[in-house]
Amino acid sequence: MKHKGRVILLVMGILLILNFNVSAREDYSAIVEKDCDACHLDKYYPGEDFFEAEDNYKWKIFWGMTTIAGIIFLVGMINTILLWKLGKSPSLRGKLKWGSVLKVILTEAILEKRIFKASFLRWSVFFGVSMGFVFLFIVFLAFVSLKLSTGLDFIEPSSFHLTLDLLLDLFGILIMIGILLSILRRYVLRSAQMENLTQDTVAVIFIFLIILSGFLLEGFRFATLPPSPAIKFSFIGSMIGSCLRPLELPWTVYHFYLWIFHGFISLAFIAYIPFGKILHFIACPISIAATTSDEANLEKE
Amino acid sequence: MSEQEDKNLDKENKVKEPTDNKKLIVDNLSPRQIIELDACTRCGECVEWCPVYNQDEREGVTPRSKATRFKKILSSQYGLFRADSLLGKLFRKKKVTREELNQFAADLYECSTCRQCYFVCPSQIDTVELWEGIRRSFVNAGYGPLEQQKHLIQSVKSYDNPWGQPRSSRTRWAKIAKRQKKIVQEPKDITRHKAEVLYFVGCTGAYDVNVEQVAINTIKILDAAGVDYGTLGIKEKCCGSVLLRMGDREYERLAKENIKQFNELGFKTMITSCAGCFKTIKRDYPKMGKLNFEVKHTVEFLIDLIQSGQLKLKNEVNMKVTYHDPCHMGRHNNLYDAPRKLLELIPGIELIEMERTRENARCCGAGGGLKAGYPDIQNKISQTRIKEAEATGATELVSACPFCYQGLQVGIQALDSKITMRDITELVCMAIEDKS
Repeated sequence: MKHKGRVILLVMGILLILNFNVSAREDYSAIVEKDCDACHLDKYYPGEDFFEAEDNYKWKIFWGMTTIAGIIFLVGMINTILLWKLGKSPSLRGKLKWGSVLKVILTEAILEKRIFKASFLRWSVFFGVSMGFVFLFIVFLAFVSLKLSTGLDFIEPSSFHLTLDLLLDLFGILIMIGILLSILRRYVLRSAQMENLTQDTVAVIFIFLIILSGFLLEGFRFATLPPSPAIKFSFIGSMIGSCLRPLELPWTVYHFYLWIFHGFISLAFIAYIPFGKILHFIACPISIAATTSDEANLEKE
Repeated sequence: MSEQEDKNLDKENKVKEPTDNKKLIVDNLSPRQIIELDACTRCGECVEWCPVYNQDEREGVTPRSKATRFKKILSSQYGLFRADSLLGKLFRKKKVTREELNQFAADLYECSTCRQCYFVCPSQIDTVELWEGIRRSFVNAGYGPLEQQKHLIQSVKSYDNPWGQPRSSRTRWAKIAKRQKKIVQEPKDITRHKAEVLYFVGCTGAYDVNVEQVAINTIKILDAAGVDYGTLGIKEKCCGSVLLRMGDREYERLAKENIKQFNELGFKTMITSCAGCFKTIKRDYPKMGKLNFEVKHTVEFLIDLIQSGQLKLKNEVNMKVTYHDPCHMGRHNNLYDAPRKLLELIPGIELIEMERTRENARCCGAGGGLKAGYPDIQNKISQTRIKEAEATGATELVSACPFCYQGLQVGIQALDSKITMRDITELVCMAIEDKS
């Protein structure tokens, strides 16, 4: 069968989601038969000590960046909410019509029928980027809640980790396709009505760099790992890893610094949300829901 | 002009002129409307469909530009990053200049409130409600309306109609029509004699001699059907649409007075032939107070009369017509089928649809104060619609709004078009009139 491999992967993925312990990873050093510092050359790391850098510096930097990004995000959101609260008139005409709202959230906020009718290319951009992020967020929430409720860990190598790898790659590539189509639409095809402001370009660059660095991170990781069925779950990362593996470069070192960059760009993106175009991720569903509820109430009147 | 008069004029102007960068008060907006400013992705769908941008290709008139610029104005005056705050100064946030505010006001009023942008907006921003709310803030701060629109507002305030006519002239059309034997009798005054139905004539139908035929036809039809109806006569006041669209708070007074008067009269149904009055009374009045009657457009009421057998359409009206959807009837009230159904019920009528109809129908450009503020733009918009109507091969252009009637006539005259403008009631009249 032509797609046999993919079908097996899909089945494995589904089984993993259902928490069948199919293929837990073995300890890395047992697979490659060498110690970590054989590849992680101390001299390239802060403090010239890999373990110190990995266990200490990396997380200090990460939490430092997270704190700064969190503060900026918070200040931005407070400012945004202060502006939203300037309005004192009632936002809705009557009570919120939950039935109509849920329906429209599905058809317009998620499936975006209006955009689909207007332009398939634009819909693809929307679906790739927006839905990619939404799905990633849902996956994140699902895994965090599973960890909290069942104690199953998805960060450490385990069957759950493989499921996470699969889903992250799947939705990551969805976002990447969306953002590439967006670049095509914005900067190559560019219709007469298209207007590229700095905030548009900033948003595109942010998303592109987050996804690209995420895939490269996986690639750098797999470039030093021996091929195995488990890494196939990260189908993009393993593909990049296969391409990089023949180049005998210190991928593990690159991985360390790229991880920090990936963290930085992702946190900067979060910090930027209240100040740029990304805010429409929050504002659009509110607008759609409110308008739909009003229309439903008007019909009733 | 004497020196004293000059001084007085200067003084008056100073009172009218806003102080520099006057802070906008936006409490008349809702939090949802301010959120909608952030919901605009600047995708440009509105740009493609906006009838005003179609004529005056300035980015400033587009809905996306208005949303972005208003957000900029708000965040320069309010919030943690306002221009005069510590954070604002730190990030060198600029104050919005008087020129920017004036330009924004000018662009804000360059809009016919046709609601086409709402129908194509993927974020479903209720644009017209938003513009009207912002206009109100601008009027309160002294930046609006435009000079050329002020006479309309002043006229409503002084005479309860936007056409600068005395209140006593409101029933002149009926008196003349009776004298010319166009109608058998003047409609009864509902304030004196109770009736089931109130026919709200509207200012355009009552005062514009070119459009009064709409009122005359409606009366003829109601008489022919034996409807127990009346009008408010000289006690009828403007519905306030013009004030509401342009953002004047006086609308509230007018609406409250009208609601009180209507509710006290005890009629069951109000009908109106004007799409603007219909929208205002049916959709906007309930926000000000409860209405104890049903509001119908004449078209809906006539269908009821025909279907109940009260009104018989006996004559064939052999005409090729095309129908123009008034924005306030269609996009604002979802009344697309009723007028088409009425046309279908008239024997002999052949309806040919224009390229853009229903929710995508082109606007005539007359609404929202655009005709008063930007007559040239309205003229061009109207011409575009007339060309579209001509392309159908129809000989008659039918609509169901006196204001659209006026607006489309502008295009017909500018193009010297052969197409004849008709209100839908005129066709119904042709179908019921005794030919002898």
